[in-house]
Amino acid sequence: MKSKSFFLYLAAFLVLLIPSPGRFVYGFTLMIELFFLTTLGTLVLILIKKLKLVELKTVLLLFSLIVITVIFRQIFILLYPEVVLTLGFIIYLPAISTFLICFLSERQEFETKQLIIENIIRAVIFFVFGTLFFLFRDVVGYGTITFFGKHHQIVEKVIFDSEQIGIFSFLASVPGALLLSALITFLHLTVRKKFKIISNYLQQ
Amino acid sequence: MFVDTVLYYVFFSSSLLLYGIGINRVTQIGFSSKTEVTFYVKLILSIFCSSVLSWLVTYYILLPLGIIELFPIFTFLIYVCINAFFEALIRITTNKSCSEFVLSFSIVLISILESSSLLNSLLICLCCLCAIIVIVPLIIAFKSKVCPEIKVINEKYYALFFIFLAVIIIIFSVADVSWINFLEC
Repeated sequence: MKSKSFFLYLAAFLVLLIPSPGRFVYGFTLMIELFFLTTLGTLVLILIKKLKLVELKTVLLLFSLIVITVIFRQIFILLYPEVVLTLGFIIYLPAISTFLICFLSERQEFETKQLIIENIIRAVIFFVFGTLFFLFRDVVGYGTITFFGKHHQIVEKVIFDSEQIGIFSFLASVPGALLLSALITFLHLTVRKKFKIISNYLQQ
Repeated sequence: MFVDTVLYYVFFSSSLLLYGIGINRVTQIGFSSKTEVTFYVKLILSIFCSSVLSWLVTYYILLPLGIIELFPIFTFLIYVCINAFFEALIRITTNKSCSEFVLSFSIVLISILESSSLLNSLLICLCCLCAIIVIVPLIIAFKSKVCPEIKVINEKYYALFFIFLAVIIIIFSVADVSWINFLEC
């Protein structure tokens, strides 16, 4: 993955993460959804290619992504209705995001097996990154970790007292997520610059 | 009701700021070449037409049949048909392409999901568009005052842009949460 394209992916991905509530359980649900959409979307693309329906590729792909989202939402309504209720419109965002459309439209020239492997690896990377992003927001912003519990309920594990959090609760809000995204982008820029300096030094 | 909806979707729960609808497109303001007027006309027409038809299908067909959960699929099919019609119309008349999906479909979807009547649905569409229009002058000012030296979109611009959006949300939220609550007390 080229550095510039990765940065654009990172930005589109961060935009996708920002509107979600700061609790880990909601972010984790979105990440599961995104992972399913990526893997199943790749398979749909391969099927479109095999059936020689390339002219209808975009429409069929988007239609499939929306159908997958509707099915995913229905499954989650049965399992954890509270999560779906809280996410509301946000649950539809990954399916119609610029990130996913660009992600799936790229690398069409690859062989079937290679395309599946490449996309799954990249989906896992973004899944891990997104999960850590939400885990950080939940732990720092609320002082808790929330996850799926028994009897269709969400469990909350308190790590430290909410009174100790103070100003860090800002990170759980949407502006806080934007600020965190800005910090991640700055960090990515700095790390890339440092790596460039090191690689230039080693080449000399 | 009317004022509540307008204030809610334009400022306090702006579709651009809180849902990120159109954020990728507004980031390009000040960088990409000028977009044609036909693009905006097509965008607005396809949003409103899709919204009206989708709401009617949802309310009069899906709701009585008890399959309202499938509304995004039907909304998508309606949107694709209307979008293709306008796209064809523009290509025939002006010989130009005005393809756009994410922004317009997101607005149609949110208007159907969160509306209580047809009029309300149209109002939400209008408010979502207004939310973007309200932000545009601020983005232009941000681009020209804060980072005029940045000529192409890069990490630095994105990071500053995220901070700028956070500040805008805080400004809007302060009016919603603190001041009005204080006045109500």
